[in-house]
Formats: sequence, C-alpha cells, structure tokens
Amino acid sequence: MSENGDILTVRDLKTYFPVRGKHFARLYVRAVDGVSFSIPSGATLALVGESGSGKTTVGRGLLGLLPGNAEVSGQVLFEGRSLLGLSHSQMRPLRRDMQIIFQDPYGSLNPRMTVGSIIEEPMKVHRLHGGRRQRRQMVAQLLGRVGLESVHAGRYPHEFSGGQRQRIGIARALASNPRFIVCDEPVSALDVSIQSQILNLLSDLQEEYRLTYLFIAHNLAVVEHFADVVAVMYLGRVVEIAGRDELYAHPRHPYTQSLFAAVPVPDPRRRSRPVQLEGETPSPISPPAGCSFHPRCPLSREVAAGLSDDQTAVVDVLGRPVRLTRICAQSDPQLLGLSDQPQHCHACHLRRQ
Amino acid sequence: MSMSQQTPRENSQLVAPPDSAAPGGVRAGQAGRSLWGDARRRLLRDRSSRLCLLVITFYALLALGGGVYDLLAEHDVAGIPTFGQTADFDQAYQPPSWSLRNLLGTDWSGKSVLAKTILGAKVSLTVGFMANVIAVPLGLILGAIAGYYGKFIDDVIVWLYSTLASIPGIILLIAMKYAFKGVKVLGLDLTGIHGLYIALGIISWVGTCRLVRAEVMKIRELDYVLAARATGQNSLLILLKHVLPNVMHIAVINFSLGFVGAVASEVTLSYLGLGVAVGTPSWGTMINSARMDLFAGRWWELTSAVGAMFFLVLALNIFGDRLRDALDPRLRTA
Repeated sequence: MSENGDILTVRDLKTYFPVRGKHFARLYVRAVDGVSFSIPSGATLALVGESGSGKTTVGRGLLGLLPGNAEVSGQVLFEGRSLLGLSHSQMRPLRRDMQIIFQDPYGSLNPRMTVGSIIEEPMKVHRLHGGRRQRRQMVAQLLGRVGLESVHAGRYPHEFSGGQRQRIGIARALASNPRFIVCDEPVSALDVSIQSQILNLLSDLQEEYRLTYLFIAHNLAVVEHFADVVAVMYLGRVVEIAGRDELYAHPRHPYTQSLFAAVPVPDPRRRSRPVQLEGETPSPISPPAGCSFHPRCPLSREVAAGLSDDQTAVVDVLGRPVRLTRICAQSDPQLLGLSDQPQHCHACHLRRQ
Repeated sequence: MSMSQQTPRENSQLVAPPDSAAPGGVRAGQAGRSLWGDARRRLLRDRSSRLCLLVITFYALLALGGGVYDLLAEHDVAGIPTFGQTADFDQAYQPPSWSLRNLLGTDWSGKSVLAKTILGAKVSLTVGFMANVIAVPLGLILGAIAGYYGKFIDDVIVWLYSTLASIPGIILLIAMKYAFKGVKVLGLDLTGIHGLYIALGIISWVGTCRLVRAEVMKIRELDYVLAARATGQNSLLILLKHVLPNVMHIAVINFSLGFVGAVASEVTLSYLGLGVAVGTPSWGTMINSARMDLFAGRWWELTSAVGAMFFLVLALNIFGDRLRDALDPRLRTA
C-alpha cells in the first residue's frame, strides 16, 4: 500500500505480555505477533477475528493504553510521526487527534460524572473552546449531533439505555475533534435494532468530520457495509487482508472462509453449515508451530487426504491423531499478495498453488 | 435521517421508575440524579436507618451538651460547679431513685452516675470521630495510591500495613500510649486524649486501605479510566476525578463502622488506665472504677456505662450496614 495519503501505518507490531509459568519460567502471551497494515486518510479498516485474536490489543496499543507490563515492538506511524516509545507528555498533544470508542457502554462512562462533564473532559485537557460557556455550548452541539438532547448534559450515565450511552461515548470521542478513531467493537454489546443506528451514526460522522476509523469487530456481517479494507486476525497475526468487496467475493484463507460460514443466514431451510471449526483458539503462550491455524484447518485435512505419506504429517489435535499437510505443520506462512490482486494478501500455503 | 426519528422513543426510557420517584413526582428538570442523591434517598426511605440516625443524633447532642457544660464550669460561669466539685461523700453509693441527680444512682464519691454517663458520651464520640478523621483519609489516600500506581509504591504500602496488621491492635495501642507519655506536639499533650486519637488513628486505617486498594486496582482497568487516559488527562487528575469518587462509598461506610471500633478501644484502654486522663468521666473509667462494685451488689454504674455504649454501638453498626446497602453499587438491585 502506498505511503502517501495513509494517516496510520503499522509495521510488524508485536505486543507480548510476560506471565509466570511453572518454576518461575518467564513466558510470554503473544497477544499481537507481527501485524502490519496501513489506513488511508478518511477510510475504514476493519480488524476481524475471534476473541483472543489480539484485535483489541492492536487498537489499544496504537493509543498507548496497554497495561505497564506490555512489551511492544515494531513501528506505528501516525501522520508520519512514530508513536511507540513516546513519553506521556510527548503523546498528549497527539491524543487530540486519536480517540477511542469502547465496546461496553456500561463500563466506559464514569458513573459519578454528569454526561456534560464526561464530554467536556477532552476539551478541558486540550484547552479547546476557551471558557466554560463555550464548552457548554459545544457539549450541547455534540449531544445534538449524536442524536441526544442538550438537557441530557446534566444527567448521569445510569439514567440512559445502552444505545444512548454508546452515543455519549461517541460524543466524548468527538469532543477533541480527532482525525482518527479506534472503534473497539462499538456495537457488539447492543441490541441488533440499535446496532444499525449506531453504525449509521458512525458512518455519517465519518463523512461529516472526515474521520478515519480502525473498526474492530468479531463479526464479518457488521463490517460488510462499513469497512473499506478488512483484515482478518488469528492468534495475533493478520491471516488475510483485502478490500471489502474482494474479500467478501473471494475469501482465500480457510479461516476467513470459516468466519463467513459462521455468519448466521436468515433462512430456516439452510440449517447445517458446511465448514465448522473444531476446538478453540490455541494458547497464545505457545502457539502451534508452522501455520498457527493448522490444528483446526479443514483445508489442510482435505488436501492431506489426497497426498502421499512424505507430504503429510500426523498431528495430535485434542487428543486425536489427525493427518495434515506437512508444510502447514512445519513452515511459517508469509502474508503475500495474490499475483493478479496485489492488494489482496493472505497467509495460507495451500492456496498459493 | 433515521437517527432523529429514533431519539424520542429512546428518551421515554429516561423516565424514572416509579419506586425511586422523588417526592413531588417525576421531574422534567435539567439536573439528573447523582448516585449520591440516590443513595441518600434510599437510606432515608428505610425506617431502621432513620431510627439509628435519630439515636446517633441524640448521642451527639448529649455529647455537645456535655462539652458546653464543661466549658461553662471551667470558666466558672454563673457558679456552675465542675463535675469533680459535685462530689458529696454523704451521698456515696446511693442506688437509683426518683430524683434527677440519683436517677441512675451515685458512685463512690457521691457523684451522679447519670451526669457521668452523659459526660462519657462526649469522650466516646470525640474519640470515635477523631480516630476516624485520622484513619479513614489515611487509608483512602494510601489505598488509592497503592492501587493506582502499583509496583514499588504498592509494595511499600502493602508491606507497611501487613506489618502493622500483624501486631495485635491492643498491644500496639498500649505501646503507643506509653511512647506518647509526656510528649508534646504543637502544644498538644499526647499523654491524654490527644494521644489516644492518634494511636487509634494509626492502628485503624488498615481496613480502609485494603478495601480501597483492591477496589482501585479493579477500577484502574475499567474503560472509563482508559478513556480518560486516551484523552491525555494526567494520572493525578484521573485518580482524583475518576477513581476516588468511585471508592468514596468505602470511606463513608468505614467511617461509620470504624466509629464502633474506636469507641470500644477507648473503653478498653480507659479500663486499663491508659485512656483518658484520670478524673475525666468516660464509659471506660466508669467500668474500671465499678469493677469491684459488682461484688457488693452496686450494679448501677457498670450497667449505665454498658447500656449507654450498647445503644450507641448498635445504632452505629446498623446504620453502617444500611449505609453500605445504600452506597455499594454491587449490592444494588436495579
């Protein structure tokens, strides 16, 4: 992807959390293990994956919101400036331009503060809009913009519904007039009927304020109408990244395909789904060798059935021996573009040939 | 745009549920209900907590009256005798009878036990109040700092309170009282009651500190704290604006419950002769001086002191419990 016009570039981002193993051995949870992407200004990149795939850690890592024990390496460029390793005071002016919307509309608002002072806080921190009265006006304007009323400024978070609280969270994120917003599963905790309202609001705001979004979701259906580029994460890595239309039309990686299979279809006659994954995401403390998806990969099993013994390997999966392709179990796949579609990258050995 | 059509429907959920409606019906006004206001309403709706508050207020008024009396007698206004001057050895050990002076009988020196009990309320309440004024803010601040900043600071504070908590409280109190003997700080003589305030304050902040630290460690990871960090707010202001208000209820509850411990400790220490100065009427000294009387059948002095303490401690305990019910968000049935 081009360097120009990208508001955010992430190169080989790694985030490890130290944990203590048996006999005081130092182990690491590899929450994010070599992620690269870039987001053009005004676009939306969706980060999709199961729980535990590291997508939230990527979003928080960009904003420097990880707990103190996280070990982060790689490169994060925001408008050409490197963010990793900045001190708190160096980071502060940049925080005006980068904000975050959280998943949990109940935990993300301080229950002891009025809605007005919650939204006002970013303006105070960055000394925007001068005096108190101008800030109040701005709060009222923001509340109106996200579909609430200015009288709500004096109320407390517990007096609102989940959808309304999410609107308050959005207003707070907008208060410092940012250019880039990390949306950390902003609709996952909401009712389906409210989800579309919030998504519509986010996309209206994107147009109005020329916002760039990093949109984190665990569900491909939510992302479909919203993202420009979709990156699928599995166990701390991006396994496939492509433009939305391309990815939805031609998913290449077997993990992406299984995610599509998991999207519910409102059709009672289509009960059974062809591809379903066995087991759970492996532990990010000791990820499987080779392609980290191989123990669960349906494609590898399928292909291995038609191969000779020297090209396959027998791997123990959940206590059962399973025959898989040798290359998947042993060699680490690279995230490479397709020959005819360089923008569409995936990390699957078997889909190269 | 569909958004504006949706809002009125969502707004209807803002109407307060009927059971929490303020007197005067549902308000359409500007101000919202803060959690503190909610807690106050819940607390005052409960009959037992109103009764306890009444009892505590009654004791507080007695203590205030005792203080005013002491002040007047000390400056010899209108010839009021000090409590010590009311001794009348002809009247010693009178059992309770129907006169104001002898309603609860008299002690060995013929002083009114009723007056002594009332004046004792002043000592107990001031000790309870002052000990908590020292202990609760100390526990709150240290707990919040330990929980929020973690690492080295946390280690130091945890070490401090673990050490303190491993020493039996009463032994530490006695040791401190001996250490304070004859010490003067800023014109305050620590031998007497001021030393008692400080000693009690020093041993009783640990409980508050532990609870606050644990709660702050939880709150530190909540999204609203992350949101404040994402806006670039500095950590001291995050602690003051986002963390402390959400653990304040622990301080309020512990203030009320800590009162009980302080009142009891004062009585124990005065009984051991290490509490208030000799001659000051307090429930502990009453129990101390009456401990031989019980064998002689003179039960009234001991009974008065214990009875006075019983109702105060009971009221404080129940009130502290109700306060916890009203304030602790985890116990709320929404």
